[in-house]
Amino acid sequence: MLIRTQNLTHTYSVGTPFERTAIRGVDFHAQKGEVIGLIGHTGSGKSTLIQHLNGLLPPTSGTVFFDGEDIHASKQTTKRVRFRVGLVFQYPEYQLFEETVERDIAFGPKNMGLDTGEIAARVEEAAALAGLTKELLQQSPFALSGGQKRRAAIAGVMAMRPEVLILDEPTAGLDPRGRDEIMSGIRRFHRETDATVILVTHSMEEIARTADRIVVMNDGEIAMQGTRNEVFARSAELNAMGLDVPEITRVAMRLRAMGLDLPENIFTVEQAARAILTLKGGGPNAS
Amino acid sequence: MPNLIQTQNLTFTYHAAESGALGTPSAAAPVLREINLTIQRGTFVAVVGANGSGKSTLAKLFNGILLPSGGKVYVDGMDTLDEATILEVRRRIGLVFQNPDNQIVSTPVEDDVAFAPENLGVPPAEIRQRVDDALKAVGMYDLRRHAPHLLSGGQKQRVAIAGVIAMRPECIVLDEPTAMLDPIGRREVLDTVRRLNAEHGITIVLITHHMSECIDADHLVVMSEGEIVMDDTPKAVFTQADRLTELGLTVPPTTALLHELRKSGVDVPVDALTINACAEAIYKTFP
Amino acid sequence: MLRDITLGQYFPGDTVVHRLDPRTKICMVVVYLVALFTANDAVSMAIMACFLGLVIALSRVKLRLLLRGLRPLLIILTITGLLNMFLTPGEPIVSFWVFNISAEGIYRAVFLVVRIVMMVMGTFILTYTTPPMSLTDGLESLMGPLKRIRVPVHELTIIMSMALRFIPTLIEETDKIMSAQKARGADFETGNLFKRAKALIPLLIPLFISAFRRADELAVAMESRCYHGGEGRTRMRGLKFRRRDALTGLTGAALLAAVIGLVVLR
Repeated sequence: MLIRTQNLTHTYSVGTPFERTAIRGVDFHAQKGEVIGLIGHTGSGKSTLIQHLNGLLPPTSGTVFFDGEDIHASKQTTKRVRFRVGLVFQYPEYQLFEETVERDIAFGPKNMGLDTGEIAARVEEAAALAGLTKELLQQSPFALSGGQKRRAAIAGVMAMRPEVLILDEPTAGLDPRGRDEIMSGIRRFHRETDATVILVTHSMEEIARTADRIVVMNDGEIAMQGTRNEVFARSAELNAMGLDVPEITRVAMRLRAMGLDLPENIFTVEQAARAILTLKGGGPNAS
Repeated sequence: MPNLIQTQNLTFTYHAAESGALGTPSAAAPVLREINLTIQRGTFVAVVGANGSGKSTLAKLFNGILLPSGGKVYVDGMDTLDEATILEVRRRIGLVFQNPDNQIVSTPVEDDVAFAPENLGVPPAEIRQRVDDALKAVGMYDLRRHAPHLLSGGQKQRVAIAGVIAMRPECIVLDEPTAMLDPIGRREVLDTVRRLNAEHGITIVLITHHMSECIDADHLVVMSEGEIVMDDTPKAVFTQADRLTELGLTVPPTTALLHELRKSGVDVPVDALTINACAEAIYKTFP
Repeated sequence: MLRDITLGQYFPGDTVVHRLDPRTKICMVVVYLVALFTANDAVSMAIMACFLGLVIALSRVKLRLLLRGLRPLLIILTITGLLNMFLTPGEPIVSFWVFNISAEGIYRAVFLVVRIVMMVMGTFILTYTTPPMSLTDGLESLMGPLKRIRVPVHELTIIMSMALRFIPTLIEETDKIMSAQKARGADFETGNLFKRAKALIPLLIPLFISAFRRADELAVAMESRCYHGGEGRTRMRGLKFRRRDALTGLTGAALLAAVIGLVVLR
């Protein structure tokens, strides 16, 4: 197990009228190379959980293990883990500050204390993974388009070559093309580095397309987890938590209810089309 | 007069002084070119287009926040260039923006909603009435004494909508109002908007990236690079999936599936937009 | 945690303190501050403390909340206390190395710290119980006469109100950017002064850019809601003095008279 939390609880503003327990007794785990989709409505505790995974928030109680070691064992451990678990916040483009995109991407590697040659190599690699062209690297980050800024910010985390990459709603507010570019960057990063990816998103379509395993948070606890099949099959429960299954899955469910013999694991347009065509090819009496 | 908003050969270019900084487009090229668009009273119009296609600029031209570089915008027959009637124009066309945090001017909720009628010089007793009515219309009356920054995203956005309803507008223009919201918040806002249109007869212009949000619209306007490239019913627009993809947009997953099936030779109509209609259409192709 | 800062925030409520006319409250704060700085002995200070206690009780503002508001001032309070303790001349009761602590020093230190704490608490009660818009309206009305000498009173007060409104938003933003930069290994906590100042660049640049963007969007949103300056503006809550305001005024006058009387008579 690469990363694991044990009985993790976090309470904000302890001892004030605003005291609020955001997560309670959470046992979360992720294996090497896994892609996990983390879903749940706003305030369900997702953001609090992910900020524990790289040691940004200290647990109120419970433990976070990385590679078997308590990440708060010592200050050095925490600091090291911060580079091994990369966290991309929501709207990460608002953290850009350097004069050029290149220097901004280099901020993380520089803080790691790498030498100039290594930093340059990392920047180049991360920019390519995030889908940024060489010309863009010399520009001011503030001159880029919305989607490009977002990718530059994500590259800034990828450049640390984290073993776990966590992204909090990386496609929020972008147009469909912008969303596609971000998602293909993330998939490319996963393919080439075999890092663990934890994707927090409200888009069930993105989850359906990308995640091996889905973890659902509700009211500060893990409400369910499992494969796409296992989780999306419980659509009534998901609805009750303010979540949906992908629209295509709902179409497939409707068709099954009407009597078509479609398989249960339909989450994308391609899967649905293939299943329906197979059914058609299966003979005229398929219904 | 059925035409509420009418643009004639509307062209808009950001002046050098306004551009460059803070993410406004810096190119001197026109952001909008020869826009001829009519929005009829009581209709629900959706506007889609990739980032940078000029949608947000168009919204700000509707209520005279921006003024045409060429051509005209008429609201209820009033030219937005006429300073004498600009407040009347702004009263009639309420704007709601993407980030709810940046459009709430006061706390608690009811004081914020009172802001516009106060600016309009409405007598205090009537302001109270308008504020209460507006908050009831968006279902936020019970939270009228709350501090807005402690509300959820969907609630904040409904407060913002109440803030413009208190002007008793003819039309509400919403610029990506759901981009920063989770599925619950998105549903809250969309339901509110639809109800205002259906029950209160308020004209709605909804600018969005989410194709699923356009399904119920009377008209769907597609923008690209500062021009209107399609203006038709959603059904008619979504039949042109390839054209939309070229423009960096998508169709809703339901339509995508129907297109996919049609490409593989299944004789299925491509204009079934809702989940039920889509399932029906597919079911019918089975003997 | 930064997000614990409550400076200038309004906490909705429905007590007599909340319902007072904002002008009354502003005047009372002025009277209170004058009295507080006039008070120079234990008796007059005790009267002030009783008054503050009464207001806190009436406003139902949680004492915890007020204390939390003091947290950012902890350093100033400590320095004030220590300086006064060591530097006030007098008969030493404890002395070590070059420092002498006298009874006068301790008395002075406690006195000053209490005074600052009471000053801050008093003003916090005002912002905690008054919506920013009412505060703005009250100030604008009180400073009305200045309009005649062309002071842009409305503009000044609306700026103040917006500043108050955005404090929580910007605090939250600072917190977020800090976390994001920490996730990239930024270190805000160690190193010498120069190093720490330099470490703030990745925080301050995004924060400024964001503040400007917000200001820009806010201006557009305000104009879209027909804001066109103070001219012809009406108010939902018209300012109106009631009996409770008169009573409060009398209490204020009595307080001031009592404290001044005590000081003069001594």
